[in-house]
Amino acid sequence: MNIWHLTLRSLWSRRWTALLSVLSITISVCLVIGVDRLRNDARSSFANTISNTDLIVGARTGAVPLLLYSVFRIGNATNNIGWKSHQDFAKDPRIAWTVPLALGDSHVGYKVLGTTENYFRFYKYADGRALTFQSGRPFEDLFDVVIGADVAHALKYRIGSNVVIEHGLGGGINKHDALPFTVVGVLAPTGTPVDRTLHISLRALDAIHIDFGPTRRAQGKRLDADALRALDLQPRTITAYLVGLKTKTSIFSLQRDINNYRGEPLMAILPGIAMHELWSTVSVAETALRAVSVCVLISAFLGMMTMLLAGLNERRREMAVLRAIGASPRHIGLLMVMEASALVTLGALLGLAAVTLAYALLADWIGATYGLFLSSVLPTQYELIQIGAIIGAGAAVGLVPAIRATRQSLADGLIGRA
Amino acid sequence: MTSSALAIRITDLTFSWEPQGPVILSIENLTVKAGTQTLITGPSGSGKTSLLNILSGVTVPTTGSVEILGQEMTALNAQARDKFRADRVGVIFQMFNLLPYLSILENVMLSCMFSSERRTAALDGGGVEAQARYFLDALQLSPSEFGGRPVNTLSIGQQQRVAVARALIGNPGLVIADEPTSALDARNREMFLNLISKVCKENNTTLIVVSHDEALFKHFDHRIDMETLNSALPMKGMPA
Repeated sequence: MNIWHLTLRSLWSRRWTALLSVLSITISVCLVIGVDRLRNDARSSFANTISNTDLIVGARTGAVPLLLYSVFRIGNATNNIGWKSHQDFAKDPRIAWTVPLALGDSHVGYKVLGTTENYFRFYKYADGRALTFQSGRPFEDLFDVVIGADVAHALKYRIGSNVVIEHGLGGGINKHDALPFTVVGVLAPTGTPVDRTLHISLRALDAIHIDFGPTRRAQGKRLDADALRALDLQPRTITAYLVGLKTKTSIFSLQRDINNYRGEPLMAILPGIAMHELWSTVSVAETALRAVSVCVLISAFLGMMTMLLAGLNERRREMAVLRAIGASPRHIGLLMVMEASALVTLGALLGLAAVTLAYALLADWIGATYGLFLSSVLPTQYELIQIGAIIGAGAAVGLVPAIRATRQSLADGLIGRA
Repeated sequence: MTSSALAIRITDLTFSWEPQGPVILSIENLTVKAGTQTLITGPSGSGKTSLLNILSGVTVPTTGSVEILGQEMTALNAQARDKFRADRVGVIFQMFNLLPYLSILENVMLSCMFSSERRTAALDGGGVEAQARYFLDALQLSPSEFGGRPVNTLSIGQQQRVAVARALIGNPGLVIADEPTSALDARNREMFLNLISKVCKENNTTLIVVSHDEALFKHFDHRIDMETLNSALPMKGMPA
């Protein structure tokens, strides 16, 4: 039996009060690590979502909302922009490519994106990686749909599966169920909102909306799929489009031209700058969250210190027995520091385990609900360093009761006074 | 250690709590032979507690010399005296000698935790646990029955005997007991004193017991009266 063993046995004998201390440390460590993890994941998840796009063009709104709804599929566009204005700029000699994006429909909670073949060629993520197909091919027919990896996985869709698009954000009332789509391609996982998106052609999006509306439904005048295929469909509006330039130097002149476009109010944003703006908005909240979690940690430490200090008086006999068998007052102090260390270590490890477990369990749900892709499930080196620092701080907190205990056992002597 | 060696030798000792404070203890000369059993009696306030704290190395005299088992205590610093106590002295309190969160056997083995010397001595005697069992058995606490039991299932008399086993394990040379029987009834007191003196004799351990009860004397070789010993006391029979 050594002094560690003794510490743990003593703590175990006071396990219910000790458990409360451990729990409060666990909770605060959860907060500290959890907040930090979410922040980092939010940043990398966002930063990796779009790459090689020079401008994003949409209806006039804030740069951050445009970025959020066009690229991250978070929120909805307040206004659409005309197909005609897109066409005007698509012909601009400075522009190498555009990828039109039309959002608004959904399928079982997953967003449906109307776009063109350009999407598969020019949309890039995470340092210029292009989309690749896990199986199948891009859409060709009017009723072809290409699905993201998560959609395929979660809904168990394969090439050939039938898909019914819902109008708006779903809920089952307004289904375009007369016109089912067929899955022709499944994209490889990207860790971006693309994984959670169904892609159809702009023409298809238009086609399913021709027949839509209560009046036409009631009249029963509905076109079948072949009749729709025969139509010369032209999209009237889109939500936004991505622009790639031939030379980067023209970026500001083009941005100015788009912003000053006379046909309708347009706005062009630089994704990197919008992203930066987003972070500066969020960083205030981040700092506040961090401050709160550090405060919670401090109060957990204070709670532990209170427990150890309050226990000192009733443990005088215990200390006297240890003194009798040759423990020096320094040993008694060491015992306190070790108790604090044991409590904090247990609390911190439990906290880390809880965050890790929560991550593993909630990653899918958070991805689905907030479009936030949680990366690492295992603790990172930085987190382990943080945990180490927290344990060190906890041991240091143990110094206060340690000094008290040392003084007390010195003052008590050995015999007849305790 | 030969039988003529001294367990305790005190010369010209004075003790006061503060450097300029009143002298509480003043002993010109006191010797206790190794392997003997001594009862120290005296009313409260006669300096028993201070003497025991000095003998156990928790405090040092203000002036004078204290030699315990051949070691001059005033030459050691506080930490070295704690180490000395761990190695060479067993201490028994009036009550609450045991740690409630350890088993009986673990409480006995506790003495070897801070002292490698006592651990080694116990190992020579067949191992720490074997020694603990041996002493429990010698004190009529069957180790197979009591060894694993929690402390609070024992009577106070039994607890005091466990404390004796802990004081004796690892052959410390000197055992100091402070009013070890004051919480016991007459029957248990007799049994306790018979056992402790028997086991100490068998192990050639010097035993010092402090008590206010002079009737205990029949169990001991010598008796020291604090009122005679301590010349700092103002007047015999008048506790300060």
